Amino acid sequence: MADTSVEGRPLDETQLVSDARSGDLGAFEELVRIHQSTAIRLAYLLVRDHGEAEEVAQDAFVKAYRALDRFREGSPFRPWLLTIVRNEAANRRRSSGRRRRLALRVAAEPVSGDAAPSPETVIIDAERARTVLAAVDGLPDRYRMVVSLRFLLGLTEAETSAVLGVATGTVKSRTSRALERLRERMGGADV
Amino acid sequence: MSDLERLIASAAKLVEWPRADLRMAVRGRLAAPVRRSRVVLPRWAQLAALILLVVATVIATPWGRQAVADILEVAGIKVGWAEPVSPAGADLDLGEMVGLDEAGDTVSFQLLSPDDPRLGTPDAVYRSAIPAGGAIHMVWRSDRQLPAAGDTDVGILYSQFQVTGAEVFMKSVDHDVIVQDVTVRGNPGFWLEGGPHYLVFVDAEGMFHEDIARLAGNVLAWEESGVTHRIETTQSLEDALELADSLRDPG
Repeated sequence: MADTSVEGRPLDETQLVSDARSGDLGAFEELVRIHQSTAIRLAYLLVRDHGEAEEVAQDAFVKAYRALDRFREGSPFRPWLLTIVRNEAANRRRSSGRRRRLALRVAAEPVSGDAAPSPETVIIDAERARTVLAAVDGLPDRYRMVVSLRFLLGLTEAETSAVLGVATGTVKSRTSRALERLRERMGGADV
Repeated sequence: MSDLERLIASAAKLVEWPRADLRMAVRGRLAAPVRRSRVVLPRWAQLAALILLVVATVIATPWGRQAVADILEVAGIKVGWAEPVSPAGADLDLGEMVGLDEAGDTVSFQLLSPDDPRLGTPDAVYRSAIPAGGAIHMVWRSDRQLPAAGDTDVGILYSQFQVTGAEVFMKSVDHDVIVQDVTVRGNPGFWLEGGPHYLVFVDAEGMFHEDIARLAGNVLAWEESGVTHRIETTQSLEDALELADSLRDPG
C-alpha cells in the first residue's frame, strides 16, 4: 500500500526530492502534481472550506519547498508534507478563531475523475454517504481524525501515525475503538 | 477491510472535495524574488561591503564606466564594456526562451504581438507548458523610462494563456489593493494597483488554476477570444492601455 517504487512512475520520488532540494523547481512541481489531491483533501477535512483548503495546501507546498533541507533524505515524502498541511490548517483555524465545523459537502454523483470503485468499495447513494459522514463527524476528535485519515483519505497506518504524531500502535487501537463507536451509533443503519 | 471501513471509503467518493491544480501558483510563489532579512555585519565587513558597492556602482552605471574608461584611456588603454549576459526575466521562471517569431507556433491559441513604438520588441520571450495549451510571456527589461519591478530587472511582463471561456477572476492577497473595472480593446477587464494577487481560472482541460502575479507591480488583465491577457507593469494605466491597444495579430 505504501509502495514508493510504483512501476511506470516517471521519476523515482527520492530522486525528485533530491533534485528539488538542489533548486530544481520542475522536480518540485512534479511532487506537487503527485500529492496535491491528498494535500487539498486533508486541508479540507481540517478547515471545511474549499477556497481556504486550497490556500492551506498551497502555503504548505511553498513551506515544504523552503524546508526541504530539513527533510530526511530517503524517508517518504507524503507523510512529511501532510504534517506541514496539518500545521498550516491548525494555524489558520487558530488565527481565524473559527471553531464551528461545517459538514462535508456531498455530491449526488461520485466526483468525476476519481478512480472507478475498487472491489474494496461499495456503491452507496448520497443519502447514505451523508449518514456515514455525519456519524464520522460526530465522533470525538481523536477518533474522527484517525478514521478520516485511514478511510476517507486512504492513508496507511504508518502515514496516519506520522500525520497525527502518535505511535502506530495508538493508530491501531484508536481505529478499532472509533469503528466500534461508529457501529454503535449506526446500529440501526445496516452496517 | 470490514464492511464499515468499505462503507466509509465509499462515502469518501461522494464528498465534494476541492479540486485545484496548484502547480502554477506554487511555482510562481517560489520563483518570486524573496526579500532577505537584514543582517548586522561586523565593522570590517561593512567597510568591505561599502568598497564593493562603490566598485559595483562604478562598473554598473554608464557614467561610472565612462569615468573608469576615461582614466584608463588617459593611460593609453582602450576599454570596452560587455552588456549583461543574463536574459531579461531569467529569474522569474517563466519557462523556456523562444523567439518572438516562432512563439505563436508553440501555443494552441492566436498569439498577439505588441507594436508599441515606445517599447519596441520585447527583450525576451518565454513559453511555459502550464496551463494546458501553453502560455507565452513577453518581457521588457527596465531602463530609465521604465522602472524595475521589485528586486527584478523587469519593467513589463505581458502574458497570454488560454482559458475555457468560463470566468476568470482575481483574488487579492491583501485588502489594500485598488481594483478598477476597465474596458480593454472592447473587452471587460480590470486594473489593479497596490498589492500581490492571484488570477483564478479554468484552463483548456477544465483544470482550476491559481496563478500568482510574478511582479509586485500594477496589473491590467482582460479576456479576449478565450485568451487571458495580463500586463504586469510599473507604469500607469494609460501606458498599459496604450500597450494593449498596440497588440496585433502578426499572422
